[in-house]
Amino acid sequence: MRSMMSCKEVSALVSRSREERVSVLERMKIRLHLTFCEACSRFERQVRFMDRAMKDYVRKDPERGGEAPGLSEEARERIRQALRGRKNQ
Amino acid sequence: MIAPTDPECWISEYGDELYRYALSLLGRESDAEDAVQETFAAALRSLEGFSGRSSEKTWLFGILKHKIADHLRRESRYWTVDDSGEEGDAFDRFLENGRWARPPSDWGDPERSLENRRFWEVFGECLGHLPVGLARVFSLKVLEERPMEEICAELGISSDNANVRMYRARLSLRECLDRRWFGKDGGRNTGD
Repeated sequence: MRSMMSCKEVSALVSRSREERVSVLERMKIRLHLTFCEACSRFERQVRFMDRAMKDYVRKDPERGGEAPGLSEEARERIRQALRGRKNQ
Repeated sequence: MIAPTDPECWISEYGDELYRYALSLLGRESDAEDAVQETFAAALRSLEGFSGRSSEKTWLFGILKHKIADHLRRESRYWTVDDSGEEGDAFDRFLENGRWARPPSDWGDPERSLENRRFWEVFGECLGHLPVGLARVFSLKVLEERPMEEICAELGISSDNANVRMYRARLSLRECLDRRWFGKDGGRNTGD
């Protein structure tokens, strides 16, 4: 039996473990691999960070504002018209 | 002062914010505009339903999130296999023996970047570079905060397929952030 997994296998498993429960054996294999592999340890930390950042990105977006372009004047007018139409129905 | 719940004011008050939010998750301007319009239309229909329990803005964002999720579910029908990424790209990242071709670099204390406005711009751009079928699974999972199986069932994709998409999305996003943010000094020196 092969007990050590490659970085390629471990990284895929680390990713999968964010979405679903992985088996006890798989968890042990991840732990073992991460103990010896700095690259995969970094990957694991970065995956957790990115998931968190993605959450913040979605949640905090309303408060962020920023320089990104907003609605164009045409779109604004189109929506205004549509709303007026509905209001008068 | 503007009346608090006047639909005519919504566009000027919240239009840009709603639009930017929708654009960050939908990726296409026309889709984002439609989502904003549908949000206002739905809000108008359920104006009585708004009791002022939450702020008007929170209420509108809540509606928008539903609209975006609906859109993503509709769109998922047109994702092709290619959207999950070339079969080869995962392989390029690893050597024949399964080790990293370019091992992830040290990101130091990445949480510090969360306070940096410029980081979020880069983050948004990196998300924008993901193939559509990858970015959307990622967005939907975070947006809906539901078990992946439920989302998969709705999207009509298998959980294996979703896992592959999430894995590739993370690999790509990671590389982009590495290249554009953490790899440079910018990530560590988040003073500005």
